[in-house]
Amino acid sequence: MKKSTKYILVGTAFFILGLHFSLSALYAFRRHYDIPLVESVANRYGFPFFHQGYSLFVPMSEFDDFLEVRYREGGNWTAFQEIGNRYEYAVDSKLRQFEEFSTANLNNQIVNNLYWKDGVRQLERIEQSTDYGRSVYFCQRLERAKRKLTHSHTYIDSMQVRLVYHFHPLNGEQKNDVFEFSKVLVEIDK
Amino acid sequence: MKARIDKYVEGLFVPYSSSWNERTFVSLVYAWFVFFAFWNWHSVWLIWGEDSVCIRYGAGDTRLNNLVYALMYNLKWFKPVFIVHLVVSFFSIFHFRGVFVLRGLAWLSALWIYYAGINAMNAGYVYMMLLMFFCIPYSSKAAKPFWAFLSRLSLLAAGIQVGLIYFYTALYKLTSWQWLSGEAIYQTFVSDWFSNETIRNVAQVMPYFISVIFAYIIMLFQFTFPIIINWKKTRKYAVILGISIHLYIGIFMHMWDFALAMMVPYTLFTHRDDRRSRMTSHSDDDPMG
Repeated sequence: MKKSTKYILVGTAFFILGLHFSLSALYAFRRHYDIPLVESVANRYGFPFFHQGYSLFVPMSEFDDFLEVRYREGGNWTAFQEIGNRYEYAVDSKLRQFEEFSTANLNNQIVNNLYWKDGVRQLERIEQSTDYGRSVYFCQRLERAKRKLTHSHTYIDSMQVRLVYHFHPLNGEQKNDVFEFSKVLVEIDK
Repeated sequence: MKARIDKYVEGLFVPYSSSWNERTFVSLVYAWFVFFAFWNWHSVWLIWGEDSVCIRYGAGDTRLNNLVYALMYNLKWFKPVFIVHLVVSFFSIFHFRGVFVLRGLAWLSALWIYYAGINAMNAGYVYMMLLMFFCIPYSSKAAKPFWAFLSRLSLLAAGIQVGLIYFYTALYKLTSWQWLSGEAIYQTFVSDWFSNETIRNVAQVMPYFISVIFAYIIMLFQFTFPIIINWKKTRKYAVILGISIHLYIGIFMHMWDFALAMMVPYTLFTHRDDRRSRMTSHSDDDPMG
């Protein structure tokens, strides 16, 4: 191979690498500058092939949250149970990660759409959201899978989910809070 | 100066024979995807299959978005794509002629699988996909100058990517009051999900400044990673510290896939002197033959 060809190859390769890492940097910090054109170019480059979150473990939340569910089976309500326990998946399961995603979105709904009336928390706007729907669907699908596995035929006509918070503030009191959503009619096996 | 540049450019094209750590690094990148598939075997059909627990949702209607989300809307496609992904990822572990075709397929199928289950995935998967992409043109033995150059370039790019991820993460941490105050580490210790009972109890009684010290060690480590991993005097300590942090994440924070993803590139940062000498000379002193 000719020396000039080598130089052209190396120059081109290093230019492409430089461009790649520059655009990756612009993509990584896209929320920290306000230049729409640059952001648009960075997004088009970064997503979907070179996406990365970069802000790993930033921030850490000051609470843990859990999705709990209960069903009306054969005319009686079961006790609320944390879904990881009910469906027996481990903390390192992808299902657990999906639960975390669902609860994080419900948190956002609570931040943005919770309101109070006569001193009582109103959850109706949250219950109209896709995020709430996603949580219900998640539980419903897990229950359906469990019933398939265990060959259960007990009739379920309703279910209810709730979001349980464990706060562990620094130098503060450990406390819990519960957001109990409305009971909903479901057809588990459909 | 010109002589040094000439020597460097020439060195990139000399026939390439990898060292054991470079081969191992590339193999581990693809092995990680096989590990990931088996590790999540119990839930794979619930996340991606026809019994998926994820609600399908719309993305921007561009051709590219439709392509990457195709699996999400065609649940029946998952099984064949997943089988192809498993097979090509498995064969990509090995080094043979033409393996780059399989590695390219492994990357594309991994992209599909990622976006079809995006809400259940963590940063480790994306990180490995980036490394997977860089490793596509890598050959462990390349006699032709062009392939020798591509092999070296792929490892260089992978190394830069690893350094940048640590560096960018450190920048994010340095702009977060939770990390600057040490509270992020405290929250990790007392979390229900990312800790265990013993650590929770210890964290609640131990002096708070220990959390602060840990937070600053981690930020300093990540911020200086690109330097300390490449400087001979500090490399050993960087590897030990990095592996320790990721082992903690795996064992106590229960994120084994993420922890292993972060540990894999450390194989690349061993035997750097050997690598440098092979960049500029024809002699191959591969310790593993």
